[in-house]
Amino acid sequence: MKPLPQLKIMRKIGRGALLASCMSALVLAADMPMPLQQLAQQVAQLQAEVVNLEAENEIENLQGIFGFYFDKNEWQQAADLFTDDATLEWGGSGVYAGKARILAYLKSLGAKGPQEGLLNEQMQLQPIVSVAADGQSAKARWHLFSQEAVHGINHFWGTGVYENEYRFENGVWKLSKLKLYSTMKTPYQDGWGVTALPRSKASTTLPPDQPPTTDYKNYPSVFVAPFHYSNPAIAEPLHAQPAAAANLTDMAAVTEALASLEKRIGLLQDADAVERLHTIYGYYLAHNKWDELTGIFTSDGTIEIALRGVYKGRESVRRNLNLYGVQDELKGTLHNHMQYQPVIHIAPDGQSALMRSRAFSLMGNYGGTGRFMGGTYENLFVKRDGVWQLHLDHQLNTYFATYDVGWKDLQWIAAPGISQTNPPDAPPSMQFEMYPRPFLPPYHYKNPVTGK
Amino acid sequence: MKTKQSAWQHKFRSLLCVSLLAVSSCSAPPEQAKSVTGEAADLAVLQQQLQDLQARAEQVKDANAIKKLQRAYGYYIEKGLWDEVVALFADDATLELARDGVYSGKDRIRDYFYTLGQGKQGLHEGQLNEQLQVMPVVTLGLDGKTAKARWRNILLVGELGKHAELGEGPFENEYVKDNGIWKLSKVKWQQAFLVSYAGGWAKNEDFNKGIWVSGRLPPDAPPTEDHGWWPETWLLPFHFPNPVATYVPPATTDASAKLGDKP
Repeated sequence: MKPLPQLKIMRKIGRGALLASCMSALVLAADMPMPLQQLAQQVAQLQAEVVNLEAENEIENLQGIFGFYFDKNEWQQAADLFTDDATLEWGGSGVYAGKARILAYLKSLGAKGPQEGLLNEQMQLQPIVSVAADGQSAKARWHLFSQEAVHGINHFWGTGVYENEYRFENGVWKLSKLKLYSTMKTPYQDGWGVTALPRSKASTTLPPDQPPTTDYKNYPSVFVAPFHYSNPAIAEPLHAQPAAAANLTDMAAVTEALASLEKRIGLLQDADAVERLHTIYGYYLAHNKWDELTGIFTSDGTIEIALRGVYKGRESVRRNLNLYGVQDELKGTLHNHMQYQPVIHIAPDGQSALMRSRAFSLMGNYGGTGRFMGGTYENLFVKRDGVWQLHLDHQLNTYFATYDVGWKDLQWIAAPGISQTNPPDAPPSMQFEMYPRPFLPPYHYKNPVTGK
Repeated sequence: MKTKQSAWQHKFRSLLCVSLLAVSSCSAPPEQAKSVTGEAADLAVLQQQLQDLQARAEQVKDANAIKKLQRAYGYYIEKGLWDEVVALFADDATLELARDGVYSGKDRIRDYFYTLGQGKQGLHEGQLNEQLQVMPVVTLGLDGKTAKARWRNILLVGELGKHAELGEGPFENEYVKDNGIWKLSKVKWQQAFLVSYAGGWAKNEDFNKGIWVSGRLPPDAPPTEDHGWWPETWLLPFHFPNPVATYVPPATTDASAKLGDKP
């Protein structure tokens, strides 16, 4: 058996320390180690729990990835996230059964890929993922919050709730059922106090395979989408069921299993830490906490926002932040930058992480102009001295829209670009276009199902 | 923070290993120590490693459970399902929403929500009450039984044909683990702004000045802090320290270094 590092440490410390430890040792001696069999059972239980925790993260990533594809009419990519026998039901669309029909439905929504004059921000928020005890299937509730526009024609706010299902197939999580209960849709110029649009109707050109499975109406009617879970403060948490522990019959197998668990639990904690750090970034940004915000960057980290170019190193990052306002001063100013729908991939060595997430901002002054901003982050985080830090902060803006105009008649403008008075250390690492021009922010990941 | 913790745990584990080796060496005859106690010691080390890993997995589960709890709160509250909302609270929890003041204990929290709902559960026809729970920053207590979290709540509320408001505000909440189940022990939410959709935050002051219920149901205690209402702006303090480090500009460093030279 390969000795654990801890054992090596022990042997190095050697017998000199033993005499001194004998008193406490006598006390500890009553607490004998548990037998191997019992240990193996607990290891198997922990393995099952870790499998389910990993599943929760993978399912959150999967739904986030679906949302980003959907935004940009990436129909094939989106359809590939489903199982062959999956179903899709969107509002009052009726049910499309099977992957091929799902693809046909998605294609019926518009030409493939990013389109000139099309805005389709479909935000996937507020996940409650429940993985089945056997780790082979899952259900999840999500909130949908959308901003849609066809340039020059219309623009809308929308909300809804998904109750989706997922299946673990050939080592990958896939969507097996996507069901959106639409709640509210209203034209931007009216708002929900003035106009409430009914839920969508089944297509006549591409009729669904089944009629809608739930009879409900959009707001102004009141409908509660059924919950797949019971009240979490009343219900016992679901415990993962271990697969047979038969393979953990000797010390070597247990040792190996624990080493693997150590690594996997580390990666789960890394994913939590990265999501938390990115969220803290948003809170600091929203309150002009420039020194706090600068401090979460690595010493050679970069910030690159709105084609202003690349500012490298903490001094430059701090200097860049002056472009967005004075530290701590926010009187009568809204500077609410929100981040969500993170898709996080931690490198196998646990030392770096790539993340795509959505940006949505509410900005402006009382008595002045209100503005919305939508965008995408593609960031790189690294772990240094055991602490996760932001190494590359890259935001690709989708639009800046004044409150009074919204998206329908939003005239194309270039992103703010390079400041002459506070210039970057390097030009933008890449160019991008904002709505109403089409653009696909590059993904740091491949399709998790097809690898394409 | 977690990574620091795990580094600490690693050291702690090494120390434990030393004590456990001591156990076997002290209590066994020297000639047998190598084989028999060697295996016992190895088992003890594995057991310790398992316990550490169980504790770390528990932290991940705890953070997930707290996120689900808050998200469940959002899904219930947006539909006016007050009994479900109240069930999420610990018996001695407190609730402080916007500028209404503090309501203490589950009964008072129930009164609060039923007053908000005009005595009834559920939304009424024509009402919209979308409340999106986003941006969690969960911080687990060292005791494993308490936690804090910051969130944002995005609101799209109103009534068709009557009014519509758009708003947002931060939570700084606390949670307690009771018999293995996480519950809300303190909900504190501030209404950064909630303004008429027509014109938005550039043209409107806060539509109700953060007062929802307290006019009809006086609180047990006044607001723990009161900053007024939009267009006033303020910072609800973060419960968490900077997870990396606060940046100190070089100029400041030079200045303090010079000061240090001449005390």
